[in-house]
Amino acid sequence: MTVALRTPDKLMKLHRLGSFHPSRMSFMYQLLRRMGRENWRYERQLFDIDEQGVGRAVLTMHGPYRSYSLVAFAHDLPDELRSDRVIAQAWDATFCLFDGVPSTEDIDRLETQVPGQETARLTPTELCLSRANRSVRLWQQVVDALSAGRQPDEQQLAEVGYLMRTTAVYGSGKFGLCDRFAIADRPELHAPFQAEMLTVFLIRQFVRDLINHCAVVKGGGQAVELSPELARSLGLGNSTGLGMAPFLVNHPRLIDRWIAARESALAEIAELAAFDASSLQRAKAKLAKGVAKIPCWRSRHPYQIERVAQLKADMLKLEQVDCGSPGASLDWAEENLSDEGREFWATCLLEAYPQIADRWSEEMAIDEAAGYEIDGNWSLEQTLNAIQRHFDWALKCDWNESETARVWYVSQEKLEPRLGERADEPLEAFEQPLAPGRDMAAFARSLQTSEAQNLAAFLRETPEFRHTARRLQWVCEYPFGEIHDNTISAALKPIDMLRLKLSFFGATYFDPRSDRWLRICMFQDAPLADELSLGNCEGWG
Amino acid sequence: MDVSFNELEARVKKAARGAGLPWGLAEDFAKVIVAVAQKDHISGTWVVDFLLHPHACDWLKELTYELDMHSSPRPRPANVPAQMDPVWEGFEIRYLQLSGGKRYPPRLRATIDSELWLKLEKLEFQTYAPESDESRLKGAGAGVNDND
Repeated sequence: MTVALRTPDKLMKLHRLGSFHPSRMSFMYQLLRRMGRENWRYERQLFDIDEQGVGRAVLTMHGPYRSYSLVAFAHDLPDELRSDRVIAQAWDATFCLFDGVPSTEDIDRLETQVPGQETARLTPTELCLSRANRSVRLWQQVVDALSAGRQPDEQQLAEVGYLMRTTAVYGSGKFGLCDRFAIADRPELHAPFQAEMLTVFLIRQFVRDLINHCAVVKGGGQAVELSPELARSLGLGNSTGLGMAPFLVNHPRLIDRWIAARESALAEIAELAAFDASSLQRAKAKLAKGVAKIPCWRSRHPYQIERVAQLKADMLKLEQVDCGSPGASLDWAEENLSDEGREFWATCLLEAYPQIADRWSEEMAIDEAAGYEIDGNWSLEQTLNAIQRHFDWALKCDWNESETARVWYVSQEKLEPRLGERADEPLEAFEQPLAPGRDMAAFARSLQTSEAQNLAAFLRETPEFRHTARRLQWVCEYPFGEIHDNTISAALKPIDMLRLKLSFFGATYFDPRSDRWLRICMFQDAPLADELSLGNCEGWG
Repeated sequence: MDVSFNELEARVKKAARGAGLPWGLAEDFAKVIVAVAQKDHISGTWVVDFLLHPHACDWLKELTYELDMHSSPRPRPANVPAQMDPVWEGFEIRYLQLSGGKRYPPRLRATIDSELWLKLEKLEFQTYAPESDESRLKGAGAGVNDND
């Protein structure tokens, strides 16, 4: 069936993308559904942590074909060294995801590497590398309560949402990890970021075990374990910064697959003549859950406070409206709600029609190594027409000082991605190619005055546009891969870019701390690894 | 030493940029070097020697022009200078890959001489901005100690 998708020029605006919500198509939801459906089995192979909370652990998930193990190292980190920045040198705990079950020799080798994180050299048997810090607000309070034989205060847990937060989860060959191509054909890892999501899921499990251990160390026989209900209510936090924003610009074909799959599912749903009773009930249940959870979405950032208020108002409208069909409800949302409400209602519709959403979820991966060539036979007119068609917004921008105020760069300090002010700092020589709109407009201007015979000849004369030409040919095939907004404007809010990616991960409680730095929560309310089953692997978010 | 193909591609691309190539040519050059590494161990430091040659950009413009215009392998260009030999071989492999023809059996790792890895790193580093207090405090949008 071919149905009309929402168009990129409407959808791919940063404010809209920065309003995306997690849905059942998000990667952590896909992971748990698969593991529950396939009856994956959890096993704690090793938990050798001493009274100072220092030691090693191995937590394994056994699937039908393969096993994957989280190898964890717990450290005794002085408070003054605890930082979530990439520039940190030490963490409360460090981790890697091992392909299979590690031997003692493997763990010994990993102990010499994993705690160093960015200085580690890993091998193809390691799939991911990560680290986490304790929540200073919550950790000691929870240990104190459990060690005294009582459960911690539920309200205080809810205010933070996690006991530890990761500050990076690396994969895809970084620091010697296994390359993506080597595992992409495995059904369980074919969807994007499945190894990373599994790493996070098992870290959450490790954190639960570690806090129980610390409580016993302190309280001895008096200590109690964190109740399963409270443990389930806690996710794993994450602090993240600008590193995610370059990813979105650097992987346009992958981003297109994510958004096109979601839009295709919505378009198919919108074609249905009317809601059936059970689908409408699922949509309403998702809405009700959203209404119930919105008081927990706390942020001190004015931008986010306003967004949450808009969403709250939109939810009230959604509760009262009665649209006859999914398509009519999407149209109504477009006319009556803010971006927050529009995109939230989209997730309700995906939840209402799980068969459609789950089928399209299988279309979110792509082999990015393929299709890298440029078709040099394009005429210059054809090239200009393509720019006009896909970058009309960029051609209309005058790219003055305010529109080019920012510079994306990478610092020599632990290669941290940063955003600078072009007028104030000498950064242009180090500028990363993360302004496709500006570059496409310059490409168009140069094409207009060129007498080259074709695109290949043009690029031979002016190779500085080669990167942009490749991007243009990609967008013709992958139109949802391109952000239709200026990524170097003085008005840019990088957190919109971060939220887009995090929504596809499945992250919740998006909480910006500035325009380029934020906290989120992952797997909150999900079943724990030792209780995951077919019966609880979905509907938890 | 062995490295992942992703590491190799990322480092060669940035090293090529650090050597002064435009980003687009740096991308193609990195793909070519990955193709070479998929076939065999990369010995010596010819990758960096090539990048630092004053005509590297001109040669790559010609080779990528051929790649853009033709989807099947081309005759070896006349008067190919010696420095171009291994790079040309890489382009030949890319032609074969892009035309869906012969593919070398996948190797799990790229292997290269460690001297090359370090020389590439040095070039890559030229694409990174020097550290400053202002950058450290403002560029990432978080405090240096972001505890809670």
